[in-house]
Amino acid sequence: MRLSVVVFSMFLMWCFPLAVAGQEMSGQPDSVRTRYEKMMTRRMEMWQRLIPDHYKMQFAGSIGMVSAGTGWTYGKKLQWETDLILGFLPKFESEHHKVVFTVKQSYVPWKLRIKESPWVVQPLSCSLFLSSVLNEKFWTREPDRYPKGYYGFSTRIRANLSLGQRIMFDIPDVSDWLVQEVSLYYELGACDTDFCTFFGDRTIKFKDILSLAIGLKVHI
Amino acid sequence: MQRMGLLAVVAALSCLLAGCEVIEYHPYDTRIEGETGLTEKNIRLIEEKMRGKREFRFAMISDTQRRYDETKEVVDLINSRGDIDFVLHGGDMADFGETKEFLWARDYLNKLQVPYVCLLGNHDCLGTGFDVYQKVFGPDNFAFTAGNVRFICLNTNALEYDYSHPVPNFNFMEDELRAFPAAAEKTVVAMHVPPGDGEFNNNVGRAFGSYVRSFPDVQFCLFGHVHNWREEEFFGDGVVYYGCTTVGKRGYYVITIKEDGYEIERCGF
Repeated sequence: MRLSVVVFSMFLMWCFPLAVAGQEMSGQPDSVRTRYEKMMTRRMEMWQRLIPDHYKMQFAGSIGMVSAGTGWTYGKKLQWETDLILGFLPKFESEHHKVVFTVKQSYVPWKLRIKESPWVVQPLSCSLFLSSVLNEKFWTREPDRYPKGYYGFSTRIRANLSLGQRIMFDIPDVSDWLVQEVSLYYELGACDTDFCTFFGDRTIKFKDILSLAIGLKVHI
Repeated sequence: MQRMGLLAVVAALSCLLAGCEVIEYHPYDTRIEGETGLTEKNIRLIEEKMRGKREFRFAMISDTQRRYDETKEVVDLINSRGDIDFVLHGGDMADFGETKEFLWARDYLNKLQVPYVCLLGNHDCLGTGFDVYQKVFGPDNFAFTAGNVRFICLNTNALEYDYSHPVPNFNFMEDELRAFPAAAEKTVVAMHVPPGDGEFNNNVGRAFGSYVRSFPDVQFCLFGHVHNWREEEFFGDGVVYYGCTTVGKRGYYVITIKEDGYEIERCGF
């Protein structure tokens, strides 16, 4: 649990102080810039790229009951996304509530605008994500008491693949708003252990291993 | 007002979805839909059904993890035979200890027309597996009386617990011995991991052997885990330990308790 607190505070620091750092960019002097100023501008621009430009909230999807994260949208057509997400997993029948940390990479190749409207359909999103249960009962590598390769998998880390669709509202005049776009998405995915079960057996159908996620993305 | 309405719709939708199988919060979420407490329920059924009998027949299957095809087949086969009074599962219903694996195992085993009990396997302890096992099935150590035979079912997966839980639980064995029911005359001891295995607490191996021996008229012991047929007398004390293969290798035991002795048959399918 202590680990999850550390990760959570790092996460908050990541989201907020950098946004403040960005403000220093605004004042551009009229005079010729010195080497020092150019270097500082370049430096600021570099760091500025690290400011996340979107937020996500999600229900289910194997990374917690509810999860929230932030990340970057990038690429020529803004088709790539990288997210850092923290999910909350209530204890249900187990001893403790758990926090799940997820790193997610998505590819959203197409944007189809519905006529002249602000609505944009993104017919496909492909994601690959790694989730980690922040609880010391779960291991990445088997504890020493086991012979090498006894179980041969990690109970802590799951690798997931998912496909989904989105509908985005592209806010026409952003000046009065705090955000540029809001999109609603769903994804259907499965994890490494699920695929392992599915491919080894005919009784378990593909629909049995699918996990649904429903979420909201807000692009600043 | 409109916002409240939207919120209500979202809340209602999530409640609706939360009941679906397609909603998984995490593979280890321990969110259990459907029947729980199966060990207690099935013990009651076995004890009622077998009361007063001195001869009966039961089947043992084991290590069904990720082998749902064969599990379904063996369940159908046992149902169609019609001569089996109850089924003992030797443990490892799950492979990764994931919640849904236990629910799948439960749902396929529930198709048995006879009562069944499941031992705890080492794979069932992974992640939050032990929590789910306890909820869906019951305690890791349990006992029941079938006719005149007391079945002592034990958790022997010592390597999974790191001394946080007594495995094997000698207190349980002593209590069982002290409260041995009057209706029972003989004993069968069942476990997932056999003595001598790396998963077993071998420091107390011989002590375990003598605790087993202390039960009245021990017929034999049963175990799973090794994914092979085995027949061993671990302690040279006349108590034979029978290892049941995995359903993945298409085998199960049919064991007949007789007035005088028993018969144990390795069956294929």
